[in-house]
Amino acid sequence: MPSSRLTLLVGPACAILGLGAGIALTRHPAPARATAAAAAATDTPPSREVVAFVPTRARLDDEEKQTLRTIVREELAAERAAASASPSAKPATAADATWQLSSDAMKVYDDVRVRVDDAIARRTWSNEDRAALRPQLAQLPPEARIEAMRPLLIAVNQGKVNFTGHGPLL
Amino acid sequence: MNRLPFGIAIFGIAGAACLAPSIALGGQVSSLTVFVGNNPDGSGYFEGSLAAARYSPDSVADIGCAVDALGTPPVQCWARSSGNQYGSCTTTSATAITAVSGLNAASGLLVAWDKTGTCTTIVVLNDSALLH
Repeated sequence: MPSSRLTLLVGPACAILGLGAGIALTRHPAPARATAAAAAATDTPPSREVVAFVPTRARLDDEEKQTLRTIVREELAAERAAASASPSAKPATAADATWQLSSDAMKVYDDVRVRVDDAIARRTWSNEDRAALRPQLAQLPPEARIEAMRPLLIAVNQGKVNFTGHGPLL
Repeated sequence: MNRLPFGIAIFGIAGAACLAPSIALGGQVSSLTVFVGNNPDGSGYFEGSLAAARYSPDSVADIGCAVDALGTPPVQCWARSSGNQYGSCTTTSATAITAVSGLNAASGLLVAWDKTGTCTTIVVLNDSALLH
């Protein structure tokens, strides 16, 4: 049964119960402990809709509960896996960045990345490396400079590359 | 003859009394030594004053920021502690450029960055206590 229809029936049913209880209490002085529900049970026929709202105990047995737990765990695991594989978790690349590069600038970008990847492979970065890269970096827009150097920046901050120079990294 | 040395002594004591405050009371001095903390995921934090790094007894400590609109990222901040721990971050934030441009010999820096090496916090302290 649709819940809206059920809701509509609850009001009249309660009114009937209350009316019956009131009449019973008025005509037959009840014992001191008599309840309205008991009176209603004797004078008014029970309504199926009202019975449906009486709280009942859960009818899941242990096996069904265990099955339900398993389903919830699987759903949560699937949500976590989907979140970790979302596009925002992927590293940024020149291709999907918001800034655009000309073909010449893209070549410079790639050259910078080759040097950066080489430094990461060597696990060392020096003042000389920095000085050699600056003319190329100057040809890139600021966002591209940062993105080109970001893997090195991260590697140095993680302690995977030793910066032997002093001052700024880039 | 006997009064001349006494007069000189009085003059000397008075002079010393006048000069003493200027020697002993130079204002509060604070040393913000360079500290660098790197997390395994690449994020981190550093703090320190330029003076503390410059006058560190070792030749390792270093701290600073660079503003460069041409050859490098607009703002880079870095620090190396006496223990040789190094951290660096970059940002294109206009407010960071303004803040970093105010660095001087009496400045201290507090900088934090995320795992991508992007500066998330840059605090520039300009405090006379850091000038020494």
